[in-house]
Amino acid sequence: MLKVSDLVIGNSKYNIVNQISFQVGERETLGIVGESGCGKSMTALSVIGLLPKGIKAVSGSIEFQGRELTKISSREMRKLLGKRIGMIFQEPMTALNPLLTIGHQLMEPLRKHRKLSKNEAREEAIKLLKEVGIREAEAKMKAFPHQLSGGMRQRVLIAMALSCSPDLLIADEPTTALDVTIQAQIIRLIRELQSRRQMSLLLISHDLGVVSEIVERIIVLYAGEIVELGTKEEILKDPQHPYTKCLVKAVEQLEAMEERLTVVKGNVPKPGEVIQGCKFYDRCQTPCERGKKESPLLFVQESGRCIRCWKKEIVKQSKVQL
Amino acid sequence: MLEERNRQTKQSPIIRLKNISKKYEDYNLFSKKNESDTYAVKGVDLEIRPNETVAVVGESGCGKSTVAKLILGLIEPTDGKIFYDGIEKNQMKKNEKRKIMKDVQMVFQDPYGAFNPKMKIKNIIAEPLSVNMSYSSSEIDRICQEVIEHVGLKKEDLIKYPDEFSGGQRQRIAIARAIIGTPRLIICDEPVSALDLLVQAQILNLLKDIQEEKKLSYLFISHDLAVVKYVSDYVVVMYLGKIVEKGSKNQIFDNPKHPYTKLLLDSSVSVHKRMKDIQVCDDIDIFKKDNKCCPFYNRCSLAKEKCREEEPDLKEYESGHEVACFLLS
Repeated sequence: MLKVSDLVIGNSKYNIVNQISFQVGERETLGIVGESGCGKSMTALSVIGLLPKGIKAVSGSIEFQGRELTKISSREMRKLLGKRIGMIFQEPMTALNPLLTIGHQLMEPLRKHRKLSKNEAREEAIKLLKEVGIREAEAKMKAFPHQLSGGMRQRVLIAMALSCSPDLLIADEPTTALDVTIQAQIIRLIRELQSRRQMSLLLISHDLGVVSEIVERIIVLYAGEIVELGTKEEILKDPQHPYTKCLVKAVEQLEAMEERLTVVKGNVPKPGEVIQGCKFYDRCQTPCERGKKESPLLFVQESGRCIRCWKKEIVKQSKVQL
Repeated sequence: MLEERNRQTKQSPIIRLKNISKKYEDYNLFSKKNESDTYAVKGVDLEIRPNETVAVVGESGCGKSTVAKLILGLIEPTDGKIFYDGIEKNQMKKNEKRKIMKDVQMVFQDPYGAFNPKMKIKNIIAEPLSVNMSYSSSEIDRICQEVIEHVGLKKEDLIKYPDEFSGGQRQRIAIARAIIGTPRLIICDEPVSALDLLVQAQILNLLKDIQEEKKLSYLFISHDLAVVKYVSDYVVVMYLGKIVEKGSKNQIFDNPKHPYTKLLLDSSVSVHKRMKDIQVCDDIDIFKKDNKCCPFYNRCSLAKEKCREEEPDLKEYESGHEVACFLLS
């Protein structure tokens, strides 16, 4: 359904996201994980054409249901957004207009995209609020965003994203601003809605735990590149790329309460930093000679798993479609 | 275990909060006092002993940062007493208070907002020295160099400005500023929650190393249970301004007794373990509560009639493990 191939995002000086390719099929759930600055949010924003000023998709293509999104006019994009693609943002306070009631904001997409009358839209909005687990939905329609708690606001946002029954839902760090117990509820809600509505889901998060609760396949990004792609089980139980190993280890060791945490040296390279060879070379615990000079390719295994490391090199690399 | 040894030998606490409350009075538009007051914290008892880490866990709005502010003396409690080294704070003279306050330092959550962007690193970390002690400038230079290397940065970094550093490095600078005056207690308010996973481990290690070396105590405020489990000796769980459960780390994590603690533990996501399916009422406004009932009443699945009428107090469940819940007795 969504097919991103060789996408490069950058500003006038350097590239932020480098040659990313992935696919989200119908009813599939895909998670993108990585540290801050690795380009995961930019990837999501490029799909819906909301990249910040000065940053644009330099090359590559984003195809959604057979249509090329990088070349689409903003008018057509607007039609598509909200209707076929729904988006949930990280910060539920800033994503809602503080001066309009919840009801008003919920009815807007219904009237614009689905051409419902005011009364129909109201009924539909109440139904949506109930679906995302808000009680006393009629009363809440008149509430302003500041009158709701963080978890409730996130539910309203989810209801808005779902209002035109989109085929693809993009969630950018949907639980990061929430408390643990609320986070658990929102995770459960997203999981439930995804299976009930049979949508595709693209989930972006820095938290491996959250991602593993919701999605089937995971992409690990590092410094704007895909370093590993595989199913949830593959990535979490048997990480292959040294960076993925570090990430999984970092969570495991906290839980295992080891006396001293194993530390990965260094920091994520800044965007625009020119690095020769493997981008993870400096921090790698098992560095290889070849990575010093040559940047590794993304090797695709037969199972569809991809790893960007010379040690996992597959000699007869056939051009497999991602 | 360290915390057990500490508790047994009854080392006298550095800081003791006794029945501390902080109340905010509500006034309406015409300055008429509303009937209900808002308690940011209510009846909190807390002790921090030398060389131990006390963690305060809870969700936003539960009063954990208010506790930190009360200890630092940034706000005054409306009720209750604070003892520093066994001396009540209100009975101290002003210069005594100042001396004591030097022993308590703070590391903030957001390393991007914690520094003046126009000050050099050296001036930032030397500020506690110049305010509290009389050192010559050459001495200050020497101490700054020592401290900055101690937290894993270089001497040359002293002449840089904060915007030249990444989040993890800034947090190191914040720690440097906190330890430079050789405090006995550092309050860490969510010190790693703004950092990336791999950097978190570096900072947690650094905090542990510093504790081992300088034998100081931490009051560690966090909502991340995995981090708390890793760093703490003693855990305090707060809910809506009240302590609902406290005990040693093992007591809280292996044998949680309060329904809220259980909910917190069940809600945490993990890589290998799937989240438990728990049913809770979720869309209620948790800040709205009658003054009388148990603070957790409207979210508790086990609530009884009694929970609505009375507010439970902390009772000892086993040695060192206290729970505020009627269902236990």
